[in-house]
Amino acid sequence: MKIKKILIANRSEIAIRIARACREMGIKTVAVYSEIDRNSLHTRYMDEAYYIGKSPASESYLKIDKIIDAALKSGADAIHPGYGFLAENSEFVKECEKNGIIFIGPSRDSIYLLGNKTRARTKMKSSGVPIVPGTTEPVRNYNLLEREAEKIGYPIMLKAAAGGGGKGIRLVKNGNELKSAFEIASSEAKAAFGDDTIYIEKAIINPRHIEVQIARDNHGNSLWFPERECSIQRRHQKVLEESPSAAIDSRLREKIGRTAVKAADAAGYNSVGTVEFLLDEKYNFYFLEVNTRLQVEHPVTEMVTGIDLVKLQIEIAEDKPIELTQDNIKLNGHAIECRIYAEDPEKSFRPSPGKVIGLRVPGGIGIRNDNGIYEGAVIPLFYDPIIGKLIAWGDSRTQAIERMRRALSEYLVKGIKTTISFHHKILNDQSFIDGSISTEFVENLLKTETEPDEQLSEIAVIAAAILSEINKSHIVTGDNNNRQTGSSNWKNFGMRMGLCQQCL
Amino acid sequence: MYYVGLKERENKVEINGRRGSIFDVKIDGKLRQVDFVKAENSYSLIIDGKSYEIDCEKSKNGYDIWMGGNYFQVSVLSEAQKRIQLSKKGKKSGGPQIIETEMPGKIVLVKKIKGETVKKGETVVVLEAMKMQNEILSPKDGTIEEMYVKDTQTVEASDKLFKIK
Repeated sequence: MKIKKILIANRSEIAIRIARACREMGIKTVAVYSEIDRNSLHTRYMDEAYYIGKSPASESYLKIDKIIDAALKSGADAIHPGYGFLAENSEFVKECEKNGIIFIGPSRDSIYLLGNKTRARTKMKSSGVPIVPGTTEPVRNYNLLEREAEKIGYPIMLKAAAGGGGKGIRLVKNGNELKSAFEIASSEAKAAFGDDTIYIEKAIINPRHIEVQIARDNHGNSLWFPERECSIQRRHQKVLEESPSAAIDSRLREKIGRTAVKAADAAGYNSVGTVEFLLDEKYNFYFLEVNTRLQVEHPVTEMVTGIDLVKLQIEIAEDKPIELTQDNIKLNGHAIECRIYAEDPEKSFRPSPGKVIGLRVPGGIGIRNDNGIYEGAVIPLFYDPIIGKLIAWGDSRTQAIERMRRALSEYLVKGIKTTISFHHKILNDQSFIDGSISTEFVENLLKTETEPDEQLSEIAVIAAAILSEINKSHIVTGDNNNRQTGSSNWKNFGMRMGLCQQCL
Repeated sequence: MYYVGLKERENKVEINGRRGSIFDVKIDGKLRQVDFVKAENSYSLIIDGKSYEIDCEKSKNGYDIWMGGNYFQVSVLSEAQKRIQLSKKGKKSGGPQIIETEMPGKIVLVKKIKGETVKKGETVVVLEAMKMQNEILSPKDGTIEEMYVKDTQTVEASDKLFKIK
């Protein structure tokens, strides 16, 4: 069935990303928005927009009935859930089915199976996909948890059975830390997923986080894409991703790719999705989980293969067979994505919601911006702190790094704190440049105190003194330091910049 | 004279004169000629032929400055302000300390009660913001003299959390 109108049940950059693919495909778009998002970019970008409730996600973007209502009212044939919110909620899929709306994602059965980590682990183990050692059953009581932990042997990871996106995960190095870690992981899991069930995995030392994008249609055709390296994480949240991984040669690439397809086959998967693995220091890989949605970091795969994954996802939802064959998937060059978060890297990455009073996004060859903000936009406290993604493509890893550094130096966000400066630090770190990284990378990097550039520091000091002098004597008029409203021209410019598409 | 702080370091900067956009600046005893021009919403500095583009915003103690993807938090004190700061310093002592949140969010766990002793680095309160749980730690060994928040309470930035002695 040809889809003519899609409701995008999400916000910010990913809603825009999906709407862009829809526009290119001639599909009408429907936005939904919470109270605080009336003026957000996604609300304004789409053809139609429906209010769905108060600002907390639990009263808007997680409200299944409100979203279904909006879909019915707008006459949308399909709903794209993006990532987060309802993207991996099988109840939501059921409601879509009941109302004759196509859910753009895998079947309810796949989500049910893969959405729960312990069920998925059991299934993969029986299908011959290697899993990380640990429990395949949830551990509900603390005494049992203590016994299982001893049996598996520290260090261990506590993980939310319903987990994803790095929430509800804690590393436990020894028995003394178990109780507090259990409490925090459970309460975080409860808050994020409404389910506090926890299971145990043995912690693999210095692993790399490697994931494989796959696509599988209703007709059993499948594809795997070159891996993404996602080891640069902080508190189990990805910070920077790249494709391909510096650690993987073409033989291992094919082996992991085929294993990923095997996992998709076992789950009867029928959409685009991502199979996550841990790679240990001896290049053994273990199944971690399947993300049954479009990933935040999907652009790096698009950049190295030239394939629009959202378009592919929509076509699979239309029940079309995948036209591409595995031979069509060619790895071309290297791509890096920096996630730009509204967080203050100087103050242990605390959230920094607020109003964006200045915005300049980078451009030039090989640069892509997937943004959800504009100058004047307000970053609410209610949702994920991601405000955009900066992606750089180069013909080699070195060129991609150089290009990303250049692009970051052009990037300016004022009014809120962002992780832009932290990405600079990563891209100038020798281990990163050498490609010798693991999931410990960020923690180690945070321990090293890098001195700010002496020359630039002096310029900043001089500038501050001159500004103080000017402001004291009011020589310069029309100073816009305290500009609150800004002219509408600037806002419009910011909006355009926020929407600046890949400029190859 | 301005006392300009960046990270741990304090720099003494004098502005000795100005001709149009050219400022004579003395920093660490060195004289620099700085051509300082305001563009639409940023500033251009040219010093000895080297060109720098900066963006800035006034902050509580000075300026936030962005330059080539780098971010600097700079504090500035005038001579008068510096004198006040110096006279205040002598009076400071290690009394009770009030811990405030630096971010808005929701209190999900209060781990310590009034009167309880805590060690430096121990978790006192867990605050949820942007879907992440943040552990608020005790800055020193001591006793919780006052607990200002309770479970499920929402807090704004710079609300008081607890007092420690």
